[in-house]
Amino acid sequence: MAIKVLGWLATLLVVTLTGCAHPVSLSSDVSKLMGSGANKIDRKVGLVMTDEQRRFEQTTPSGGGDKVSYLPYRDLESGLYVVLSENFAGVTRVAGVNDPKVAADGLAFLVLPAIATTSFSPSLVTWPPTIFTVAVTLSVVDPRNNPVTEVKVQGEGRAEFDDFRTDVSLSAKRAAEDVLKKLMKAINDISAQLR
Amino acid sequence: MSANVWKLAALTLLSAVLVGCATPAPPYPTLVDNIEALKRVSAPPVGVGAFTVKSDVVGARSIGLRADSMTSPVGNDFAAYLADALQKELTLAGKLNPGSATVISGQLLKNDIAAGGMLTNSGEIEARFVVRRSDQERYNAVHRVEATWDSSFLGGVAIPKARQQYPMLVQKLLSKLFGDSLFQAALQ
Repeated sequence: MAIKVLGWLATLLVVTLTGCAHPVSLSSDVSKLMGSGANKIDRKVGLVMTDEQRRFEQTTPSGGGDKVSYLPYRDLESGLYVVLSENFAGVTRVAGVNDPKVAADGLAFLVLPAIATTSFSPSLVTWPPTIFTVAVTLSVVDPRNNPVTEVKVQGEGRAEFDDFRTDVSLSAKRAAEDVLKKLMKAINDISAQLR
Repeated sequence: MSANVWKLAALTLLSAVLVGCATPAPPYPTLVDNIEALKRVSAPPVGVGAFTVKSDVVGARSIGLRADSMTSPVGNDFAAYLADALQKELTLAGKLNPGSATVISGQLLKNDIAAGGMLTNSGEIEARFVVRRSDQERYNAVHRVEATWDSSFLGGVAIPKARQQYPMLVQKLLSKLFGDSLFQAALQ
C-alpha cells in the first residue's frame, strides 16, 4: 500500500516539478549606466518598442529539467532607453516610423531592437540558470525607414548556487548588465557615422 | 518503515510547494512611461524628502511569501524603496535636484503582496504624497494601486512571481502620481 501511495506521489511530483517555467527577470539597476561621459551625438532618436514586444514572453531551458520564463523587451526597455540617452542628445519612445512623434520631436533616427536569449544550467537539482546570454541587435533607420547602420552585441551572465540562492534571476541580470555596457561602447564606437 | 516512507514523501511534496528563503525585493526597475511622463512636465528639477511608514502598517518592513519573506533592498523598510524608486525615475528624467526648494515626501499607508494562492494572487500599495515648496504645501494626496496575477501551486513559481510583482506595483503607483494633473501643477 505504502509503495502504491509513494508511486502516486512520485508521479504527482514529476508532473508538478518537471517542465514548469519559473519566472525570472532581466531588469537591473540601469541608473548605474548614467554619467558614462560619452560624447553625445547631437541628434534625437526614437526607441521603437511596441506593446506586442513588451508583452512577449520568452521561455528557455534551465536546470533540473525545468525552464525559465521572462519578458526580455519589457525588462530591457529602460536599459536601452538609458543607453540611447547617454549617447544621443534626446530619446523618445515611439511605436514605429508612422508615429506622429517622429516628426513632432524632430527625430533623426529610429532604433529598432531585436533581442535573443539563451539560458542553461547543468544542475539536476536546482532550477535557476547558471549561464544566461542576451544578444541585442539595434537596427538604426532614418525617418523614411531607410537603413543607416546596425549594432550587434552579446552579453553573458554567470551565477553559481552561492550567488543565486538569494536571487534566482542573477545570471539573467548579469547578462543584461553586460550587454547594455557593451551596447553603450558599441554605439560610441560608431558615433562618427551618426553625427 | 512505511511510516518513514510516508513522512519522506510528504516532506518532499511540502518542500516543493513551500521551498524558499528570505530574500530582498528586486531593485526598482525604472519604467520608460514614467520617465517620459516626468519629462513632459514643464517644471524645474525637484528634491525627494522623507518617506515614512504609518505606524500600524503590516508589511512595511517584511512581507511574508508562503515560507519565504521579502524585505526592501534599500533602507530599513518599503518606504525607503518607494523613495528610491521616485529618485530613480526623477534622475533618469533629468528632474532630480537635491537642493531644490520643491520637495516630494511621502508616507506608506498599505503594503502587501500575497503568494499563498494556488491559482491567483494579489497585492496592493497605498501611499500619501506631499509636495512642499519652501514650507508651503502645494499637494497632498493618497494614491492606491492593486494588481492580480496568475499563480501556481509550486513555491518555486509562485514566490518569484509574487516577488517580481512588487516593483511593478510601485511602477503603477508612481504612474498614477505622475499622471495626476494636480501633482504636475504642484511641481510647476
